[in-house]
Amino acid sequence: MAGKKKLNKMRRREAKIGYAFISVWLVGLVFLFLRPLGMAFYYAFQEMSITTEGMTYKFIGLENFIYKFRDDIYFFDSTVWPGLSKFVIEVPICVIFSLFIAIVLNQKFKGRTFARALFFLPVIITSGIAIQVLRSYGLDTSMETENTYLFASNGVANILSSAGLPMAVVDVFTQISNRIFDIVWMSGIQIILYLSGLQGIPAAEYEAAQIEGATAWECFWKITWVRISPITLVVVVYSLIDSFTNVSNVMIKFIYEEYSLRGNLGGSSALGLSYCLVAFLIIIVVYAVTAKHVFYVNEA
Amino acid sequence: MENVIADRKKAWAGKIPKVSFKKKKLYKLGNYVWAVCRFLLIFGLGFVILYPLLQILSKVFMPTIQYQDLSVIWIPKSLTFDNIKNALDYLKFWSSLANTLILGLSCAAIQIIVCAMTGYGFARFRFPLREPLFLLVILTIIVPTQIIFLPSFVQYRFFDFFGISRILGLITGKNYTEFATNLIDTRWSFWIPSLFGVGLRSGIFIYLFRQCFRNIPKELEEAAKIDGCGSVSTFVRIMLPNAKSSILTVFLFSLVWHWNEYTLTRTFFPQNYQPLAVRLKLAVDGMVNDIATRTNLPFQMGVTYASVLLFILPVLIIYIFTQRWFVEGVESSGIKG
Repeated sequence: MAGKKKLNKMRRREAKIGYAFISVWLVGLVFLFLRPLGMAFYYAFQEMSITTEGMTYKFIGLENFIYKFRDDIYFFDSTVWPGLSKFVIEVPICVIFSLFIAIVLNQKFKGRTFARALFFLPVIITSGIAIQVLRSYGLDTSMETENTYLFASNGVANILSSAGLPMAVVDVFTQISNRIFDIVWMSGIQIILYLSGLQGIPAAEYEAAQIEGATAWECFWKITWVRISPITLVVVVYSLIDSFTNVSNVMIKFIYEEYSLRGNLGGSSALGLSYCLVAFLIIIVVYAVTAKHVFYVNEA
Repeated sequence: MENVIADRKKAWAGKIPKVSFKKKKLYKLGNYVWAVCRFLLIFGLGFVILYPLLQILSKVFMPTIQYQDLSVIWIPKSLTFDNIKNALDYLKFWSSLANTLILGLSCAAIQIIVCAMTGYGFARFRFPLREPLFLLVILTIIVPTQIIFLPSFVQYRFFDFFGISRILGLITGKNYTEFATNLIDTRWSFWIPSLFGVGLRSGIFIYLFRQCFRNIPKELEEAAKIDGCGSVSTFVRIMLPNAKSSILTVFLFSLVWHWNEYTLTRTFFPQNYQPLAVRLKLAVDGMVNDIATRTNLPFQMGVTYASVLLFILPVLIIYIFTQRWFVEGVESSGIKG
């Protein structure tokens, strides 16, 4: 009985110290994160205008959520859908590409350090503000815009379609090859994550597999792919978040401009929040589906 | 695992068929082919990555008159520093560089301390609601800044010191804004969130530190406890020195991300303390709207290329010297899902 009491006391002490360590963050979370988030919810239902005496609010119900869909019938097709569906193409390509590059960069060859430094370069120029400014001026000619590609490959499309492949398949290929610039520039962090994961796989497993006569192909699927699956989960979630919140996302751009150019604070908040909610739901679904296939060594 | 290999080796001893000379040669050939493919792949993708940089370098030192000269593609016929000089003026380079460095370095330092503390709390202590609270850490990463920067702006414009101003307002019957402080156009608008662990991408740093502290053996702490160390001194004396590489990684990422931040810096620094990212965009927009330069496209391009070069050059230099830490730090923090 006395022992149990002591244990309880220790538990309480531990909890107290734990709370003490996170207390600073907790205050910040409530006042500097949850409160602005709550305010954004409040704004979403108001018509706001800035006057000389400060803000004026007028409750208008769900108007902020629907006005754009009602006024602009192409809004969903032109902005919401591209913003939300970007990940369907981007994330799988990004995952496959970064894993492939990480495996290549993990091999021993001359100039590896240089190659690694090269592929991580996008990590330090992440904001896109530099790239965005360059794009608006065109890197090559002054005519480049968001929708033209830096490395457009019409040749690939021609070869594939003349080889008799259906247009849909050709489209997928050209989509990928046209976006090679974006894909490479998106994958910096993912490559780092995968590379760190690859180095955590014990070499003994490969040796054992080789002695048993496994081919490189089998080694990849039976060892690398299984061992790396927890990292894949992190990479998938990171790529999803990046795809949804990147400045180059049309929806994010619209949300920002709705406030900064057109001064519609309520509309910006409402569309932003509902977009965020949908994105969050997608992330949860993808996470749940991926997490099912993840293999943890310690729990096996 | 080693035992298993040894056993297997023994079991196979003498049974492994001798690989024929021809097969060996084929294997070697395959290696060569792969090496060539690998080189081509890395070279090609490296070109894609470096292309903007090469383009900038080529155009920056080229007199703008040669931009439309079809006989000049990469290598300029003569060199000039006019573009750089103009860009230095447009960016107000030295003052904005100082602004960027002060902001990035101070915020990085603050974030290291606060995020390490929070990460340690989450990694080593059991307390009620720990998991839900950690989910909130993840939530701070997921919610894009574009959603909350507006309310944040209002909050920092009339900063009420966590509600104290409002209470004072209630007591005295005046509007709370009389007791509030304007933090916009001061660095406090970045320092305060950093100080309370909700600064720029603080969530990611808390996550990194938590993983890192989890991987440090518990025995170290227990030994310290037996020797009479309190929780705080265990953290400062034992845990922090063992998390050196994570600290460096967080420092570098924080610096680089503050360097690149545009939405928040643009909002919180409308006039003063503007960092390079904001001045870069302002310079470009300024040229487009200025009557004197509006129609002079080559001039605009020259200044833009030079400005972008000046903007990324400092981080590029930092990166060249520290690039291995970007990987090693992530490795040692051992992200395991």
